[in-house]
Amino acid sequence: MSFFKIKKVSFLAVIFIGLGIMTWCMPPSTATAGEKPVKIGLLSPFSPPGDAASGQRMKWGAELAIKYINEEMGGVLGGRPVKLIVEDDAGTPADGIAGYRKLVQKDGVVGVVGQYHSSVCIAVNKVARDLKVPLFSSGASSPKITESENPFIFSIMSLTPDRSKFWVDFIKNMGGKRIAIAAEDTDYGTGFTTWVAKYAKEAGMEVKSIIFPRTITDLTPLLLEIKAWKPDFLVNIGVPPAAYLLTKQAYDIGLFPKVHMIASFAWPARDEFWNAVGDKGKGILYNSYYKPGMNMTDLGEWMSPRYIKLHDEVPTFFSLNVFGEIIVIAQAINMAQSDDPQKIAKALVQWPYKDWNGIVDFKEPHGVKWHSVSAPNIILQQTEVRQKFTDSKLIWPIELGGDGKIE
Amino acid sequence: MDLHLFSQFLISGLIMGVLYCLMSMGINFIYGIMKVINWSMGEFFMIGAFIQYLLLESFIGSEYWYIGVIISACAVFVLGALVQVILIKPMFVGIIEAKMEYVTIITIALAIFLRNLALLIGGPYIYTPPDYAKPTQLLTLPLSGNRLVAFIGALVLLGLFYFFIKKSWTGKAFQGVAQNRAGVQTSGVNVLRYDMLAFGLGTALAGAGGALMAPIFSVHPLCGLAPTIRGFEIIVIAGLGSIPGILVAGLLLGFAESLGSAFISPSFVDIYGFILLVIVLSIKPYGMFGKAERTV
Repeated sequence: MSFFKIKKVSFLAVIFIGLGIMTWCMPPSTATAGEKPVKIGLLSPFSPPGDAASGQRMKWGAELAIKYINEEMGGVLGGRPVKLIVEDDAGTPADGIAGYRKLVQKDGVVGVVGQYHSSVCIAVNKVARDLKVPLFSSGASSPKITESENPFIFSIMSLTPDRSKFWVDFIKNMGGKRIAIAAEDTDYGTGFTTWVAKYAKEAGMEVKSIIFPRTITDLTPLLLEIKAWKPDFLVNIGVPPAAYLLTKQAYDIGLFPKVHMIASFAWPARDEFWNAVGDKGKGILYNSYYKPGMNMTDLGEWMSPRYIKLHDEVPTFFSLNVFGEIIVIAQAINMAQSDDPQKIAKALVQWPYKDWNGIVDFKEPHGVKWHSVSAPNIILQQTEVRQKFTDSKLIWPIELGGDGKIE
Repeated sequence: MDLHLFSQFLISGLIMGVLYCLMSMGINFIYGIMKVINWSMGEFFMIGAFIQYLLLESFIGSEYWYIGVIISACAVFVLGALVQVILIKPMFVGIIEAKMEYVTIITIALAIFLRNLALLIGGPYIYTPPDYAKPTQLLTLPLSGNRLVAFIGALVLLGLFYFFIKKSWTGKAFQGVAQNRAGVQTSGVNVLRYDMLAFGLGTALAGAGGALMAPIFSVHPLCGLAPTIRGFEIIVIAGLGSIPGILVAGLLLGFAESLGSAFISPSFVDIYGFILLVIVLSIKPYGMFGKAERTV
């Protein structure tokens, strides 16, 4: 063997060993950058009249999910990276439909998460049935969504009937007999009004419900009428900013906190709520689906500290939910061994998947439970001004650690 | 319904009526002088509210809210005057005649631009400045101090504006421009300069309204939308260009919403104004105080 040949063999050996060391040092799970990315869409409200603050938090959750898939899972389908495409539905059905169509028909996403407003999700759901790309309801609670039995709709959310019953049970256990409902004029608000009234009447309670326009600024007449009716509890089924105005104006006319107010979801946990209502929000009760500190899977444990580090606040349920949903889609892509949306939809039903707080298993019973996985409901209270989500007092249910006492 | 609750609805309607008047006065004044409708008025309201919030939170403190209202109004005046010079004035041809459709498009485009700019700068969040006053009681109605302050502030601003228009030389010149844009030039009045001032003043009224009502309606990119809709309802009910009509129509709208809520349902609060509008227009097609324009 000549000197040059030996040198050449040695040189190649060094290169191979070097490459081997580099490969060994690199995280084995990193997605291959050169591969064609698999796209997942986020369709959420990022501008008014939608609840843009929630949309922003869902986006933060989605970005971490993409990071998790690409860096920790090594992408999908053996190394293809996943890319997030974001569209704004502005909380309106028309923008929602346009956004979904754009995501599917122009961008070629294989699944869409982040649906938040019921009225938008109901409208987009119809288009999803036609375009056959999985659509996840991440915050929309109208039972009409899953009742549609659309093979491409998936919901990881506490739906209106469950939540309404939970509130009525809670109010009954707190000794309440008269429930006032102030609800916005959307599928979200009117749906809750119907279901709360139904369960309250079954429980022998009196109900007064008033629907208000979503863009309302002066709720004084409505609140004066409620005050004159002398309720024990007032359920605020609005979405910010109307929900904040209702809280503030109820305080101004002396209705709240004399009458307990329940917020229909966790908007009182946001800093923004305190910026909007100041100390007038103290004492508000709110429905949530988790409280920081509750048990999470390794996915949730991975996400939570990174979210706090990036955004200086604890993740909301919706940010965790969108995070989990995207990872569920990624798992389904791997199980389907395909980026075909129809095969992914089938895979979503065929196998259970790990989410941020447990296992999700989409079943197909007729009616509202179709492809629906419900989160647990809890009632928290903001007992101090500017109280953080982490420090909110857990009131109900007792079995999840609540003390059953409203301050 | 008992008398106590009825009186509360009446007082609430009176307060809201006066606040609506302030909003519509600016739109009406600009139309009266320039014969153009500023569709971006709500955005000037929103800018006034944002400036007030920034001032109170970062610079002057909540105890000087009234200084904040003045600064907000002045800042919006300057912005409005600039907008007039840069965007509206070029639409005027032959000095006195505006291309109405251009002004409509420009002001709608401006509204969209300003709304998105607010979203870009302030984010999708809702802000509220600190309270101007403690909760109080006005006759039978318990209400926030902010609402009482805004009510009194709006009355003062409307009074000052009325005095300015009726008693000052500049105000009389404005009346002249409103009556006959071509004729008033023969008296040495620079119509385009008065257009700029009118646009600035009109938007400043909206800005002051935004600053006064910031703690009541909160501050966010769409906070000017509802007052603007009410403002347009009022000017149609009153008749375009009529200042006394604005006061009457504003109060009527406030009472219609409040009493409609009391006797029918608060759920339809947005509709009562339109019902009033339809009734008025079916009886008086040019509005309560409007006059048929002579066409040649």
